[in-house]
Amino acid sequence: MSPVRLFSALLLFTISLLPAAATAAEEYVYDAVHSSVSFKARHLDISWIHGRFNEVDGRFSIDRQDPAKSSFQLTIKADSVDTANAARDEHLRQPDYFDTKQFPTIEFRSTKVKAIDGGYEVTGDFTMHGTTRSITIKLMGGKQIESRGVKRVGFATELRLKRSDYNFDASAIGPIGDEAVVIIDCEGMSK
Amino acid sequence: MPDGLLCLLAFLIAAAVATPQVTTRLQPVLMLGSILAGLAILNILPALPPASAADRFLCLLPLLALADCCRTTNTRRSTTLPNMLVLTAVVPTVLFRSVWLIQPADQTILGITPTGWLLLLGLTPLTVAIALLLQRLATPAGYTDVAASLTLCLLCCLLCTGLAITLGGYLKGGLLALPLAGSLLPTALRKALGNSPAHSDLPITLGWGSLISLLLIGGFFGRLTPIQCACFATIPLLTALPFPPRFIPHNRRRQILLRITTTALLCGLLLAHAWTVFAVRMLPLLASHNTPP
Repeated sequence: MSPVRLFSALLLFTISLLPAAATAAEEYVYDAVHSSVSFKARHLDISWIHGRFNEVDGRFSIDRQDPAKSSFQLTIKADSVDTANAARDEHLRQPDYFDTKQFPTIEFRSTKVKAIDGGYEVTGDFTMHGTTRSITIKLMGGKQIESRGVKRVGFATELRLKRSDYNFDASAIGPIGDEAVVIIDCEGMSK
Repeated sequence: MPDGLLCLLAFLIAAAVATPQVTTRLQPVLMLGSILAGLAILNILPALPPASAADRFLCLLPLLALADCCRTTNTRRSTTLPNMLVLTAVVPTVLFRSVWLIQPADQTILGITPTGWLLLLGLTPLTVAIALLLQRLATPAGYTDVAASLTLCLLCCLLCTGLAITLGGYLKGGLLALPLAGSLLPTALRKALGNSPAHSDLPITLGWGSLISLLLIGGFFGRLTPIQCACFATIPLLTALPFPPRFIPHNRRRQILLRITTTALLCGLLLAHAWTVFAVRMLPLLASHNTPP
């Protein structure tokens, strides 16, 4: 076989493999009905205030053969903050806290994914209050099931953030602790 | 909550630093220094690069002061231009990259939404037009009491706007008003209590530029309502309100007192409304923290 024919055959073989490679990654969208992004912060260093974000969007791409090719994206609408107290929520939306008219979203974009026992270790850019920092989270779960013809996958993680790292107004940190715990329980649905 | 003593100290320090009588060229520079001193007391420093509307306004402050320097030293014709140019920059600077200008992102013209363009093209000429009106009020030949009352009126509006923003729940935004108002106090008192007929050195660009910036910050990022903003923006113009002849006192100082009292009453009404809203919305939240078991 001439080198040209050999090269052509190899090229055709590679191209024929491409769709299979593309389907190796499972694509999911965030299921807002069965997911939640909540948080808690210390009040006066004696108790915890709990809250959640009601409007969240996200996409995951999971490659089980090569986890490094997986990706995770999450976009939280800061305006949807809900602490079960309307006056406090209004206050949290103002520039002393989330400044939602200036920074309407809180985002996470993965940059590196590694499989670990029981889930994935995901490193990514976390953007909040106009500041982006690289963080690493442990996404536990990843079990896939099929329910009513829809493939579903679930993950859970908990991360600790310091508000001062994200350029929040230091004077507003006082009674509310600097550290906040963000709890993400999310379910993805295949498209 | 902000420390009351610290707030008073910031106001007084700003006023003290702005007190020395200097040439008209240096007066706005001195006022800028006094504002910075007051902000330092409150531990408010602009973040670099500026992230919030308040940070961007603080970065614009030196330009507002510089424009006032030009106005008070050059001839009238050549000095209006820098003032107008700086004031033209106020609205885009404060609203820069906020949701008001860039969302929804899929419907933009040159990166700004149609609503954003409407805001810019509506509010910018209004800002400049009111500044021109105020400058005219500051230099009339026959109404010395109006010009003398104007700085004190701006000071009153700044303080009340700041308080209204704070009562709406945006503490840092409201605190900004204290050094701004403090820096105007010496000039305002000199104009109101003195007998000098010269009014060309009134810091209109710095005073009005600061007030409109605070109103934009409070209205678009805090909880000031459009009606509150419109009222606070109009009150300085009401300094020139013509009174019926029988109500106008012949004494110049009484005329000034009458105009300032009118301004203070209007500001007081707006503040009372802000307090009512605060009492209904925010006070229960604060009270629940302070209620003993």
